[in-house]
Order: sequence, then C-alpha cells, then structure tokens
Amino acid sequence: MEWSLIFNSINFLVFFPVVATLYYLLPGKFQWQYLLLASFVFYISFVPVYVLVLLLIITLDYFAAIAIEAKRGKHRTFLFISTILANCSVIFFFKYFDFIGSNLNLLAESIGWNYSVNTLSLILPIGISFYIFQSLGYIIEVYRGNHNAERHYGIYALYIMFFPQIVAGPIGRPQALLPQFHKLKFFNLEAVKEGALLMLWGFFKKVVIADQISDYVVLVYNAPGMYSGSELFFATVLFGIQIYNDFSGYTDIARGAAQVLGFSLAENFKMPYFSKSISEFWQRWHISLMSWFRDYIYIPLGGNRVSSVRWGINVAVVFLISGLWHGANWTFVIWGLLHAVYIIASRITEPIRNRLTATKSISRNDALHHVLQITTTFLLVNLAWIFFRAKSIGEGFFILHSILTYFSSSAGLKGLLNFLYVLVPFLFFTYIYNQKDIYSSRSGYPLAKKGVIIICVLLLLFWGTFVLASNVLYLVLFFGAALVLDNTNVFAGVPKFMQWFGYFCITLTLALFLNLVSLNLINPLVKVHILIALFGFCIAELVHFLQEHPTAFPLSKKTTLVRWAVYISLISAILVFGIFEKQQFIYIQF
Amino acid sequence: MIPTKNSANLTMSQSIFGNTYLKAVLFISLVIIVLITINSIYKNAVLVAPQQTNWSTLFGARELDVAFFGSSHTETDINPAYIPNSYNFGSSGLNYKNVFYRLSLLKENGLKMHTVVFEISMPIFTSALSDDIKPLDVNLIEALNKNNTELNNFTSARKACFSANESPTEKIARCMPVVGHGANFFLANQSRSMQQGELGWVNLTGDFSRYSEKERMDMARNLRFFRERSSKQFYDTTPRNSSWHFFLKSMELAKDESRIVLIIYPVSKEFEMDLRQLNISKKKYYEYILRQTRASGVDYVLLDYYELFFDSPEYFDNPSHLNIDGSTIFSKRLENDLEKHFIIP
Repeated sequence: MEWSLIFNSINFLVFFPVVATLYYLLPGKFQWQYLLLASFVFYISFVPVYVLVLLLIITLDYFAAIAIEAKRGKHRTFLFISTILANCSVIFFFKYFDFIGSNLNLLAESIGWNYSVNTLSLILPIGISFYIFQSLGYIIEVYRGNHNAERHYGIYALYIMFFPQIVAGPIGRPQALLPQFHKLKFFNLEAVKEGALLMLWGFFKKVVIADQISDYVVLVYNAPGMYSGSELFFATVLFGIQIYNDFSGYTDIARGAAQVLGFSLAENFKMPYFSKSISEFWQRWHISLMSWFRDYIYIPLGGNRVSSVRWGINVAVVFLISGLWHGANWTFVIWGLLHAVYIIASRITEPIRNRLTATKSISRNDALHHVLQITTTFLLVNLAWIFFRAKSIGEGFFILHSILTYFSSSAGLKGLLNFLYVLVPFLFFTYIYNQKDIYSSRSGYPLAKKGVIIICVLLLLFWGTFVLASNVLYLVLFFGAALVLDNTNVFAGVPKFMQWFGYFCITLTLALFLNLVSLNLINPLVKVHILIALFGFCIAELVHFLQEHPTAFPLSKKTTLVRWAVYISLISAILVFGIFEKQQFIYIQF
Repeated sequence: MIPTKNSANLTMSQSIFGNTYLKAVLFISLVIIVLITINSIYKNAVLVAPQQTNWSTLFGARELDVAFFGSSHTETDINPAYIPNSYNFGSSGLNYKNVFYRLSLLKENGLKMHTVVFEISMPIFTSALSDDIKPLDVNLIEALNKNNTELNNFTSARKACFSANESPTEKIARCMPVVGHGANFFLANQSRSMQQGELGWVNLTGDFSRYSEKERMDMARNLRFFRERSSKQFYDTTPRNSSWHFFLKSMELAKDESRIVLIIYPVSKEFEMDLRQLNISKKKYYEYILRQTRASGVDYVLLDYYELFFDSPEYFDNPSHLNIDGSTIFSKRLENDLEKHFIIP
C-alpha cells in the first residue's frame, strides 16, 4: 500500500514520533488502549483486510488459553492440540497451500495421473509467521502451567499486535512481555535516548549497509549463469552481510521503538558471524526463533538426552521446520537441512578433531584457533545462504557448483596471481623479521650479509611499489599486522607453522576480497556502494563488540561532545549514504 | 503534562526538562548545520564543479555542428564520438522545461550550434516525469550567477525548496541532493562518466537479450513511467503538460540560428507490445505531435528509428535504452543519416 508504515518509510518517521509523544501525554490508564489503536493503524497500513486474520487468531487463542487453564486431563490436552492445529491450519492455508498443491501437481504429472490442485496465489498476511508463533508460545506456556492465561482481552490483543514487533519479531515470550503491558509507563529520558539511538543503529544497518549491497546481489542472483564462481561467491558473502544487517537492523528499530515506549523486547542477534561453530551461530542468530524451536520442539522431542541417531533426527526435524518456516520453497528446506548436516557432522568429527589438536599440541584457546574457527563457520554459513537466496534448488546447486569449480575466471586467476606476488615477499619479510637479531650491532652477523638482506628488502619494496602498486597495500597491511601480533604475543605458544597458516588465511581472504572488489563489477557506482556497505559493516560490528564489552568504550560515560559527535556522525551517515528507494525488509516476506 | 516518575520532584524535573529542551534544540541545530554543510560541499564538488568544467569548455569557445538534447534516451543512445564536432546534452529524467533551460544557458554563453537535435520519444512528454527543474540545473545556474530574465522566470533554488506542488521526497531531492547520494562523493572525478560522460554520453552495459521473453515483457510493463498507466494521460495523444509547452519554446529558441532535427529513438519490441496492450498507437501519437509541430511554423527534419532494433534485444540494456553495442551501431547509423540530410559534411 502507498501509505504502509514500514520502518524505512517517511510515513513511519512521521507516525512514530507522533505516537510516542501522544503516548506520554495521555493519562496512564489510556496507555494500552492507545497503543492498541496505534498497532491497529500500523497493521492495516499494509493489507487492511488481513487484520481480520490477526483478530481471528487473537480471539481464538485468548479464549482457548482461558479454557485450557480451566480444564484438566484429557479435555485440557484435547483443547491444547486443537488450538495448536487451528493456528497451524491458518498459517498452512496462507503459506503452504500453494506449495503443497504445486508439488502434488508435479507428483501427479510424474506418475501420469490427471490431477490438479488450483493455486490460491494469496498474499501472505504481514507478520503471520511471527505472530502465530508468538501466540503458539503463549498457548504452550499456559498449557505447561508456566504462565497464567491472560484475562484481559485488550492486553492480550496488544501482546500479539504490538506494532514494533508484529511484522518481523523478535518473537516474545509471555513471561517476559505480557506483564510489561500491565504496568504504567512513565517518561524516562535515558530510556528514550537509548531507544532512539538503537533505532538509529537499526536504520544505519538497513539503509547504509544492507540496501547498498542488494542491487549487486540481485544482479548476480538474477542471472547466475553470467557470472564466474568467484563473483558468485562474492555475491553470496555479500548476501550474508545484507541479510544479517537487514534483519538485525529491523530488530534494532523494533527494540528501539519499544524501548522509547518503555518496553523491553528480547535480543535477537549477538554478532553471529563471529561464532566459532554452527551450534554457536544458532545461539546468536535470530535468537527468539531458535529458542522457540529449542523450547517447544527440540526439547520435547528429547533434545540431546537421547541416542545419537535420535538426536540427529531431532536436529534434522528442527531445521526442517525452521527451513519451512522461512518460506514455502524447497530451497529453504535444503538451507535448513544443510545446517542440520553441519551440526551433525560437527558432532561426528569432534573426536577426530580433539585427537588432532592433542597430537599437534594445538591449543583451542588461542586467538589464531578462534580466527580459524570463525572463518570456517562464516564460510559454511555463507555456503548455506546460497540456497536461501537462490530461486530454485537447481539454481542453488548450479551456483554451488560454479563456486567450487569455476573459480578460475580471468578475475579469479588474476586475483590468485596477485596473491602470490604478495605471498612470496610477505613470507620473505616474515622470515627477515623473525631474524631481527641479525640487525643488531651486537650480533655477530657479517656486515656484507646484512647489507645483502637490506638491499633485497629494498628491491622488493621498489618492485612492489612501481610494478605491483596496488599489492604493496596488502604487503604493508599484513606485514604490519604480523609485526603488531608478534609484539603483542597474541600467538605466543602457537606453533610457528600454525602462525604462518593463519597469516596465509588472512592474506588469502583479504587479497581475494580486494581483488574481487576491484574487478568485474558492473559500474563504479555499484563498487562504491559495496565498499561503503563493507566499511559500514566493519563499523557496525565494532559497535556490537563495544556493546558486548561496555568497559572498552562506555559511550554513556563520555563527554557530551564525544557523544554528540557519535550521534551526529551516525545521523549524517544514514542521511548521506543511505539508500532511500524503498527496499522491503527481507524477513517481512516470511 | 508528561507524567514524571516522582511528582514530589517536580521542580527538579522542570529544570531538567528545561535544560533538556535546550540541549535538544542545540543538538537538532547542530545536525541541521552539519547536513547543510555536507550538502553544500556535495553540490559544489559533485554536482556543479564537474558540470562547470565540462560546460565551461564549451561556452563561447566552440562551435558545435550538432547538439543533442533530451532525456536518458538521448544520454545513452547517442555516442557523440561517432558524430564529428557534436555534444550530448541529454540527461536522465529531463523534460523539456530543463531542455529549454539548458539551451538558453548555452546560447546565453555564446555557444553556436549549427544543428540542434530534439528528442520526441514518448517518455519525454509524460507527466510522470518531474515537471520541474532538475536540482543539477538549478545549482548550475546559481554557480554561474546567471541573471537572465527568461531564466529567472524559472523557479529559483530557494523558491523551489518551498514549492507547493512537490512531494516531500521531491523537495528533499531538490533542496538536499546529498541525501541518499553520498556515494557520488567518491565518484566526483568520474562524475563526467556518470552524469555526462565523454562528450556527454553515458553508457549502459546490460544485455536485454539475456532475459526470457516473459521477463522482458514484465520489464516493459514495470517501467517506472508506467506508474500512471491507469490514466491515459501518460501516453495520451494530446500531451498537455508544460513539457510540451517548453518543447515548442525550445524549437522557437533554436530555429533562428540552428537547423532543427526531431528524433525518435529505438525501442524494444516489448515496449511496443506493451503500448498495444494499453491500446496506444504510436502512429497516432506521433501524427499529433508532428501536426502540432508543423503548425508552429518551425522547419525540421524528422528521423524516426522507433522500429530500428525491434529484432535486436541484444542492443538494449532495458526496454527503452540502448547499451554500448546498440549505441555504437545506432550512432554510426545516425551519422550516415545526418550526412544524407546534409546536416553534417
């Protein structure tokens, strides 16, 4: 709709301050009614008629919860199962009817049966996957006796419809969220400022990072046959960055808006791309959804307190449902199952990896090991994103195949050669640096030998500067990094070959990225957009790191000048570098 | 009154809020100042300076054999390198108000143009395009400190910021062109290739033929010009908007010193098919345009390339703009035709 109140629209930028201002001006007893009205207006700004579906779910679950709480024994269980099925049937009807119908048609066709299911081609009600899961969670908690059924219809409706979170979560838990709607909210300047800052970060991630990247990803993924494996890999990694910043940006705006209004929503992301394993990744990515699956599907199935085979099945079921939750397409199923395979494979190979690290005296706690774990996890996650983004399974496998086999395009090969030009002198410099005693006048090294080494170093620098100008940058960067790391003893105790392997990985990764960015992009504007996004991504992750380690840079304790400089820089970056052609949030389609 | 946590501390709260309001006002003022500063740097470094460099070499110093004016179709389809002593003044999203504006500027500065080529492709007369002056031209006029009566009849930059007929986004685009375009800072040195290119040409590198037929039809249907497709006003056979009015004025301005050529650029077959689905006849449309043009009494030569590349989607970047290959072939063809009409030697 033209006047939809999607977060990154001018309509929302007008709507929200008005709502927040009136909210605090109204007498407290009208707060929940006012918020409910605002949430209603917010929801009907998308597809108005679907508010009826929302009201149906709210009403059904409100009465069902009260009835479940009142009943005992078989009746209680029957009511519970009926309510679950009723909720699931609604989401099934809107989300999966056409998917199942089209697959049945394909199956019928393949066995020569003249059978067809008409497709409904319904537009998915906004937020249905999120609010139905939130509602299901409430029903389950009431059934388990962990939470009392909410008696106030209006408050319950607000719990489901609360506008900051209805569209794309985070999925709330009744114990954490429902009681908040019963309390009066008073204006708290600090909370409002923090909430506004969180919203700003959300906008930064969405319009400065995610939307800068989307054009290139769309370009490549719309015609994957036109691109080499290295370009497809690059686009996939960019998509991983895009979806993370798009979704976490949305979450930040939602949480910030809620905080301005005096509410606290659950955190949904904790620097997931710095996870050291896939299991850890799923504790940091879309936390509200995965904790929902853990508490309401995985643990009831037995969790990990079962045999290995049964545990593997449990994991596969959870990720199969997770894949389907994201979309009615086999690509999402493959994506989910791929993650299940990663987790199962990780458990199977754990004894082997433990033996390897033990025999090679490799510590699992040193920084280099962590870097390798993070890099491996990042690559595995991005390989899975291929299927998340691809339009079909065939296309997904085509892209995967291209990445693994068609890396030697002119761009990729040139990148590899450039990397070798860097690696050789880099290794030489590393060797020279490690022989630093030879430069000391106190060492017994002959002057002639010192002289030869120094001349070689200077010749290499000359060659690098005038022959391979751009690659001197890599040389300087990584030699500098090696110097710093060596001096800080970060890799102390790590076997030398592991250190060099670590430098190799870092050099390779960045050389590939810098070469890919400099080659084969459609036009300079796209390249600039991507570089802005990558720079913004580094800034955003640095901010997340500082938020998780508040003593490192406690912004709230800094002077007004420093704080204002940060805020003004953030606002300016959003306005100057943001993309404002209205780009949909990715997770809204789920 | 905003309820505070503890009403007994009302006085303290009042002073806190008093101080807070002051701080808020100061903060917002600082944000605005910073944005205005960045915007000002952007206008000079990215919008005006490259244009000035480009155009100042033309003002009063050269004569052009052929000058091309129009919208993005002109900008992308004509490569002046193939047409001796020519320049491409086309620009994306331009309507004829802007064309008249540019033409006036150039003549004002003494540039002699032996032949002026005006685009009369359908989109340039659509009301879907902004009917006001592009921020670029407004800024250029200010930078050149022009004080010409005719030009001052156009909305000045300051007035444009408060124009009642604009949507908020259009106002922002006019008054604060830096918003959403910060990437252009890094391309300021390349802004010629982005905005004007060598001799004004901007090249597109896409390949329309790589899409399936269905996808090509969808693209034709989804052209942004078509957002008003529900009303026939867009491709009405009687364009009534100010773009048409300024087209006639541009002809009038050019006729005394220049030969006039009217050009219809090539479009894809899918573009034409979509028009047919809207029951729009290209023939009737241009019959009207040319009838009105003849009625104005201005002599012109018509070059119609509408169907030239109907069977060559590989020459297009999108349904109605040529890519590098298409532009090269088209420009060479145009050069031949201009020679045949004795427009160029």
